[in-house]
Amino acid sequence: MELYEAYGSLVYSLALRVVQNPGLAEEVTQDIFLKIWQQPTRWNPALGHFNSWLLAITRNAAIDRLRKEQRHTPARSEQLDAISETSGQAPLFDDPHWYDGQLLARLLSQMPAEQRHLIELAFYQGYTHSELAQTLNLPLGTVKTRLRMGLQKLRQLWEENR
Amino acid sequence: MPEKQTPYDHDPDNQDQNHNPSNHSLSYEDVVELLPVFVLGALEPDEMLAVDSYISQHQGLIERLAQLEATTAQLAYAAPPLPLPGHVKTQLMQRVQADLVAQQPAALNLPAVFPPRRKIAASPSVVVPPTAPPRKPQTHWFSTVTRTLIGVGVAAAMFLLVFRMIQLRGLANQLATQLASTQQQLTTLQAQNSQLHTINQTLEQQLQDQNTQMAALKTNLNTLAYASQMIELKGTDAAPTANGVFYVANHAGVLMVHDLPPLPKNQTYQFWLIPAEGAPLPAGLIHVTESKMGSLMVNIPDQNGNFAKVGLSIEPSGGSPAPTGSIVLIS
Repeated sequence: MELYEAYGSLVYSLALRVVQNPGLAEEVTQDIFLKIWQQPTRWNPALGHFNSWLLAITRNAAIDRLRKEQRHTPARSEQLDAISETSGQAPLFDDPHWYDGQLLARLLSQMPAEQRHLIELAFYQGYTHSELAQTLNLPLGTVKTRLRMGLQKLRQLWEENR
Repeated sequence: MPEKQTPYDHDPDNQDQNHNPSNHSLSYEDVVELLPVFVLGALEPDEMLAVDSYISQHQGLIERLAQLEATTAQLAYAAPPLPLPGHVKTQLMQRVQADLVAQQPAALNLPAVFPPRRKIAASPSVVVPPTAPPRKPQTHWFSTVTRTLIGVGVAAAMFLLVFRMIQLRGLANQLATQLASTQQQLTTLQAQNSQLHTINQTLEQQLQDQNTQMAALKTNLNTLAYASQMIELKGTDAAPTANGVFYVANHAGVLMVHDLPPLPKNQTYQFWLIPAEGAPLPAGLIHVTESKMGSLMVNIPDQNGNFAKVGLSIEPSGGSPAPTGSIVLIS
């Protein structure tokens, strides 16, 4: 339960960001910690920090849950922004990575909407480029180009501001 | 602004949008362009495998991949911070307890092994006279076995609970180790930073000293340029090979000495203006370097302008009001 107390909010925040539904996010959060309870040895320190591993499995689980629930409809930027605005920016987590993440969130908001939207859909909702092209009615090449340029821009901003 | 076209960009009206790079051999440039999409996990599964396979065979791409992954990894932390509702913990604890019970079906699911006693009593194949005395031995046997099995089940659940706790403790220990390692790295970096700070301060001090010396040298050069008098100094028996020159310009002078041995820290060379009558006047302390050379800028007030000689003596550190040690140079 110490892990839950330390990382529960972090996991829940990412899960909610992905599934966009508090009930589902709570279930995903429970699933994650139940898995850790059942298989505490799944995390291998050689593969990186515990936090990063925890968030990686959270994202995967949340995207899987999103697909199972067949709620794979693109959240509009306004909805994503609304979550950001209503959540506040109080530092809930005693983790320097969290502050980096919040910086990245601000940098992401400075990017062109067309690039930011695609990155958010790909990372937080697990869209493949084909799905993005089909859903947004864009040429596949355009999707790839926007993702590539968007991530490169984000990386450039990150390097300039960190 | 027109967007750059990749090798997989296609005109939606004229070309196949379902182009799949795994169906073709990937070039290095193809993979470089696909890397951002790859790290976002936005390629199709077969494309992910193809790119992953290509990267594993090209070490040069691994660094590019790591840089992009470092950025995308932060996206996970970029989710808006939200407090976790309190009931989630309660539900999680219930699921943990249910998980513990579910892992002991053989021990706790008694009906699967022994039918309920009520069914045995109701079975038509078993005839029990209404007046027959209770079958105490059989009742006792079931009761004992049931209690034993429940006990075994509880013990097994407890064992599993303890085992899980030990595993979680191990995980906590690993995290603690990682934290300690990070703190150690931080301490090391702080120590290095402190060392660099000290070095920087030393270098700044050296730079300041050099600037001071440069300013003094410039003053000396100005004095030399306008010198109206040059007085030679010769070594005495205390320093027979030493020599020096004192340039005088108006109310300033520059003394330059050669072949004087450096002195211990508790001693110094002191310069004197010696009038025709009266006691020598102290005119400054001069530091001689390892190269046995030294220079001194001397202010010459009006009342000291009419000196007949100049000299240099060895004095205690800090100098003396009047010469006390050996004279090493005299004009």
